[in-house]
Amino acid sequence: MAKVAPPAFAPGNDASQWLLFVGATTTTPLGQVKTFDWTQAITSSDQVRVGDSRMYYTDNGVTVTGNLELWQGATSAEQTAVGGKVLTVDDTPKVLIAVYHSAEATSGSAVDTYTFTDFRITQIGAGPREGQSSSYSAFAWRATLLAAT
Amino acid sequence: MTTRAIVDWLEATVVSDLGVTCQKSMPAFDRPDIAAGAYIGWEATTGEYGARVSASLDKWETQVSLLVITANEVALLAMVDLLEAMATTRTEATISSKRVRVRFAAIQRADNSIAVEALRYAATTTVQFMR
Repeated sequence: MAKVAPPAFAPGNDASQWLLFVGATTTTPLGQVKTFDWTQAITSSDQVRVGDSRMYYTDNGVTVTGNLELWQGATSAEQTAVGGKVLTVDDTPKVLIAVYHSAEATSGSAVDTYTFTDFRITQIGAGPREGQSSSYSAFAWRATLLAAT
Repeated sequence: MTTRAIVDWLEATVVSDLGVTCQKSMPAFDRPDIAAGAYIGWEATTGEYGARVSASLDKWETQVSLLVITANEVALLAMVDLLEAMATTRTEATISSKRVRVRFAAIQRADNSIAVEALRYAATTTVQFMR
C-alpha cells in the first residue's frame, strides 16, 4: 500500500502560549512561572481469578498531581497567591486555571482551559540556593479535580 | 513566495516601528552617499529535519539581517531602544496566512572595519523567522 502524505505540520507551540490564573480567568495571570506540569492518573484495583490469565481492573478514581516552580519576584505575592509561601494543615485550597492559547501574542485566543479544583501545595522547596543564582520556589501540588473545556 | 512575504512583512514593520525608510537590499558600501534608514538583506534559510514522525522536513527558519543607519550617536541610542521595543512586541506574525515566530538576535553596532563614513552610527541585528 502506498504511503499517504501526512497533513501539514502546525509549527510553533511553546510555553509562551499558556496563561495561569489563580481563582478565575478574570484575575491577573501569574507572571513568574518557571515551570508548570501535571500528571493525571487513574487509580484502580485489580482482580485475578484462577484459570484465567487476564487482569480485571476496577477504576476507583482519578488523581491529579504536578509541579510548579515560581521565580522569586520583588515581593512574594505569587507564592502567597498559589498557597505556597508557608504550608499549614487544612489550608484553604485554591482553584488554579491553565489556559492554552492559539498564539503567543495577545491576538491569540483560548483553545483549552484546564481547571484544577482544590489546588493545594503539598511540598515546598525554596531558599536562596546558591550565590549569584536566581531564586525560585519549587512546589509539588495536588488537586481533586481536573476539568478541561 | 514565502521568503519575499517575510521580507515584505519586516520592511513594513520596520517602517511602522522604527519610523525610518526601509529598503530590501543592502547599500553599496563603497559609495559615499549611503542614506540614513534601514536596509534588509536575506541571509539564510535552514530546514529542520526530524521534528515529527511520518515526515522528514517540516520546519524552516529564515534569517534576515537588518541594518539601521542613523545620523549621529544620540540618534543611534534612540534607535537601539526602538529596536528593543520592536523585538519585545513582534514575537510572532501571520505571514502568507501562516503563523510565524519572530526572534531577534543581539542588536549590535554594525561592523565598520573599512571605515565607511555612513556606517559610523549604525546598528545591526539578525531577525529569525521560524515557520
